[in-house]
Amino acid sequence: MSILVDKNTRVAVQGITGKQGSFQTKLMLQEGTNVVAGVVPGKGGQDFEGIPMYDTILEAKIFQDIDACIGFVPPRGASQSILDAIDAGIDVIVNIADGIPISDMMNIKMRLKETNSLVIGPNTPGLITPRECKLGIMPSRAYSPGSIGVMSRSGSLSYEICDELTKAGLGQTTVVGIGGDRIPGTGFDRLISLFENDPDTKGIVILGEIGGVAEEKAASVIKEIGTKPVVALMGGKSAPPGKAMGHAGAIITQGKGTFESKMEAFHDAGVQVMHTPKDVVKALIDLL
Amino acid sequence: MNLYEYQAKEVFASQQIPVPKGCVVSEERHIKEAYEKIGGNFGIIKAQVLTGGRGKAGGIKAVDSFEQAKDAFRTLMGMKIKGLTVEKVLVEEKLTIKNEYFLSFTIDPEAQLPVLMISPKGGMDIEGVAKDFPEALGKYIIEPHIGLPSFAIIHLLEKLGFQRDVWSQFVDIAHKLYSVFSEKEATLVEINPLIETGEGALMAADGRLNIDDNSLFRQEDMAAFKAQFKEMVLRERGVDYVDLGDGEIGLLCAGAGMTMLTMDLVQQLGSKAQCFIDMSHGINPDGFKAAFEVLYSNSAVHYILLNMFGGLTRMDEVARAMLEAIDPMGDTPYKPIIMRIQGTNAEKGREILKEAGYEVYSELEDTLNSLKKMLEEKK
Repeated sequence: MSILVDKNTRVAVQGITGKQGSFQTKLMLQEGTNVVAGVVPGKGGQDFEGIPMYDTILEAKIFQDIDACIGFVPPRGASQSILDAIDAGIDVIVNIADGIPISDMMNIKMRLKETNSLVIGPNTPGLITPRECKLGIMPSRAYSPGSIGVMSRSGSLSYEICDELTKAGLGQTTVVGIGGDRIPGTGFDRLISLFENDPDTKGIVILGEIGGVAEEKAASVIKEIGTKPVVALMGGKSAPPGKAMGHAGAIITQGKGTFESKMEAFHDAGVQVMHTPKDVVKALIDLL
Repeated sequence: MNLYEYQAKEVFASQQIPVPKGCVVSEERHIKEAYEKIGGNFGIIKAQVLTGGRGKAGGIKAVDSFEQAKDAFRTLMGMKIKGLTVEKVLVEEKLTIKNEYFLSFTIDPEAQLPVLMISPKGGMDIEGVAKDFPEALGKYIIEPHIGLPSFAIIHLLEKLGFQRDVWSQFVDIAHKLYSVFSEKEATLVEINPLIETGEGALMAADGRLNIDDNSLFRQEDMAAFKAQFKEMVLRERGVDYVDLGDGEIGLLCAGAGMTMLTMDLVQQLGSKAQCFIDMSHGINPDGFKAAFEVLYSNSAVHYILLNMFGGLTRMDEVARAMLEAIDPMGDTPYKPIIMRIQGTNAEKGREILKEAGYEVYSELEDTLNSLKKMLEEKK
């Protein structure tokens, strides 16, 4: 078991013929991902390495069952590809683009309100259920199947932690990068409930950072429904307080978003917070 | 991209938001022009730095005469405020102040939507006001489709006890400021204080405008400001640079999370990072060249620590790009560099770097131990 995606997930790749899209699709196939469609406007009717292509996801959905999609589309066009997938009713929509304007994300969140779709990202390496389904660009070697659920705001940090987990014999159910942007499609809080409901996930790792309120929201969900051990790594302890943020930045968060507030929220929810990747692994081993 | 006060005010003025007469000055001989421009009404001289607490740090001077203006200019120029050097000052006309208000728009992290914030207690200590008198701060979450309704502003003004005679001016300025916020795709616009003059006119006595970097490709007039910011120029070359101000190590990483973790780990060793560079978008010879230019020219950087875990980025490419960038810099004084690379094609990358004579590790712990040893030896 896993969350969001597994070996049966039917995947469409947006931008499958691009430099990154074609390269990464091959790696995703190697991981076992069931890629059933490619989407490239203007290339409908052609195929990519035997995978049929369509002009839009809406069109692909007419001919195929599609559960999830991933977009390899430059930031300027990325919001279009996400909106296409939302309108097509895709359950899990991953977008790795780094550089989507905030106003575009606000529009996407509005559109998402009336749907059951989940957008993972943007500015994320994606998500992976090791050896079953990879919707992303992470280095497969760092991952192995197992019982730890991992969620992260940072891509590189999640590679580091999963590599350590794998070396210690702790594989992962699913690893999700929520992305580093100010407005992520899906927050930690939503993923906590998914991991809680997944019987194979025995422990959860959160890789948090200063800024935003994703960690505080996750902590309040854990406090409410949490039954599984959660270990967090928090980055940014030594960061100087927001340079040139303006007063509004400090006022609006009312003390939230700081390293201290996140530590306190995690502590209050019974989450162990560690400061190095190795300590995260040690703490998990102790708890399991 | 965070604009200077004088730039924010230029944008405000272009939207008919009233701002004091003023002139930005970076050379003493231009004070005379500024004097004429503000109609001989000295005045106030304000250091242009991108940080809060400028007034408390002595970055704002009131002057009555030409001589005093020159003195203030000399004091402020080159002054360090929270690690930032003053390179420009804003010379403005003298105003009589009856009241100081607060008006801003930013993005609410919880609602993930624009939020209007208003307070009748504007001025230097607005954060203290928010903490100690939360009832003196009004908020309204804006649905972008609907926009900013006048009734919502009036409701807040009434609730917060604003005098009726400023309402219509306040509503007008709030609408104009929201236009700046939404049209320029800002992450923050702020007027603090929004002053009421002795004559009863509202005026933006200070201004902040932070633009969403990701929208600059379609915000041409805002993108024109980029050339004036070192950080933005570096970003064009794929290098995200942050000056932290008081350490000895220059960090070279890829990915914000990895950068932050490395910064924290350096602090755990009892040292401090002077600056960090996130190379995520600059893995090519020019990106590394830009990064090394910054690290070598910053005299406070004594050691360089590179820590990268490549996913999409191939580490052999990193190694080659880096060597190409370091080599042409042969004449610059040597700064010790410790490297740790891991991830896609890392073995190959390490091999290339070792052959070139560099100290390279694969494990984070070994890297930190080596750094620790190096720091201890120097002491």
